[in-house]
Amino acid sequence: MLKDITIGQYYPSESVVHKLDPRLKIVLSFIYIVAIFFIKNFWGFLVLGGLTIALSYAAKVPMKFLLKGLKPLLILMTITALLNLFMTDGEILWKWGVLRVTKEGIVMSAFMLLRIVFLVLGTSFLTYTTTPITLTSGMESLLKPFSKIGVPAHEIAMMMSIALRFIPTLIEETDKIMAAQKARGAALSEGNILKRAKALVPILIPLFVSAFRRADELAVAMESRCYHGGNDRTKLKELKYQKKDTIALILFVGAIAVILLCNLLGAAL
Amino acid sequence: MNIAVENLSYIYAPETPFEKVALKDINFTIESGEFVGLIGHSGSGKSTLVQHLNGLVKPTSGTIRIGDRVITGKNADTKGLCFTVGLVFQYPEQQLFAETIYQDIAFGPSNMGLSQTEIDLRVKTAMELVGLSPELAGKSPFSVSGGQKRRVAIAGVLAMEPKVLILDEPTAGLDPKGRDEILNSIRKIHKQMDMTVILVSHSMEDVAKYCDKLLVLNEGEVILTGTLAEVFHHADRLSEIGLSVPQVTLAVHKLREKGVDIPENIFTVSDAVSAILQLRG
Repeated sequence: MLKDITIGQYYPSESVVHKLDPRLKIVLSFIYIVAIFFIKNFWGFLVLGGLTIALSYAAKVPMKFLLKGLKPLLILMTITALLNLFMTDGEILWKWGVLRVTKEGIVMSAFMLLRIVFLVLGTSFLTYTTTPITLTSGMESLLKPFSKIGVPAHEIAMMMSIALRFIPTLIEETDKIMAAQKARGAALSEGNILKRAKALVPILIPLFVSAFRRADELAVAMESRCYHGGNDRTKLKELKYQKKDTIALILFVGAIAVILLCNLLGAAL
Repeated sequence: MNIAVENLSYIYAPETPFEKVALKDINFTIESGEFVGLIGHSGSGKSTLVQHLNGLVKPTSGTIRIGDRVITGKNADTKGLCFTVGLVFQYPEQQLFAETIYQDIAFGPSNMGLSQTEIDLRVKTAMELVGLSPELAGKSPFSVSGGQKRRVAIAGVLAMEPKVLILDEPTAGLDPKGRDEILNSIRKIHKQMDMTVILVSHSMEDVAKYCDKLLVLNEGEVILTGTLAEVFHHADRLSEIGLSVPQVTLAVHKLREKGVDIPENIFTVSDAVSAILQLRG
């Protein structure tokens, strides 16, 4: 079950996308998120779908793996879809008691679903193709200008990299604890909600205990290697903006332009 | 309870870049009441193998027979198998969660749906078996020492009174005294409760001292199996995969090479001492 959580994971493979400058990838991801909300019709999503497949090919991250990342969001997606389906006013197509489905509702809920799907798919490329270390060093570099006004750029980056680094560790740990409690007959997926919530106690408590222990050990390990924050720290791998980054930027801007042009296409039809 | 494993294979995370063949065509049998050592490097598939035996992991292919139960394929029904085959994980103290030691040990038995009196009795017996004094029952499991935590965790599995007890490196991270105490308790439990015991271990000394039979795993395959004498006879094969025979056995082999007339099958220091004393008359 926990193996399904792919958000925030790194997908190792040798591709051009993997080698792009992390700063570029972060900035583009933000632009992408904003751009998604400017899509006004299904043509835009159609093009976006094609581009996502193309990107998955370029990044050598299989679509199947990408789609798996949606699984944990199924509940959220279902709720969003249902809310939009029943709560939108407009031309009524079907009615039963207080429930009514409108034409606009169907369109709206499909729209919202696509938005969430592409939001997750697109942004997950960032973590799939960037190792946590590169990602944070990109983040740090982007935040650096703000350190003049008191933003602790290095500290934020370090906290993020630690958090990211521990996602797989904690998942592994949870798996292990779950296995250990199952070996003692814990029924994790049986009974009503209250029972299930109670069944989580034997998992959450050991997990917290071990997370605190790990945090403590990590702090000691860092201090014993004389870590003392950001000033004057040098880097083993300096980030370099290269020609391929410019090409990627141009391609990306082109793609966004095409997608936004689709809005006009929709208006014309 | 007899255990028979036939052509067992397991592939981890199939069809992803993390795909790994964890177990390859494993075959072995364990008779009721045996004390078996499972040795191999970290990553050799020991933990995956033992999790198959209590139903936590289901085979990709092959069959496992535990007593009358037959487990075949990914959708095998393994419900309740964990009560028959008790598995103590590595660093089991990391699974402790309850407010008191009593409650933690009672977790397994209450999951079995036993009556309160039966649970009381089982917790008491289990604590006695692992050598925890009864007054600890009301204490928090987080307040006792590392060695005691581990005993609590082992008691938590013993309280289910499994027919087969599997311990995954029960002595990892313990000092020599703690190690001997735990292993001696396990031996005592094996005799008293007439359990089949599988001990997963790195230490040749430990398995030589406690086990009757060995199973050697390397890169997901069983490469040697048999009695201590049969397995330790292949000292070369063991050192090829980075394992070895107990140091005292190595010394005995060296002595024999030098022409000393000492029996080959000596695996513990005490046996060596008596053999050498006998030689000297």
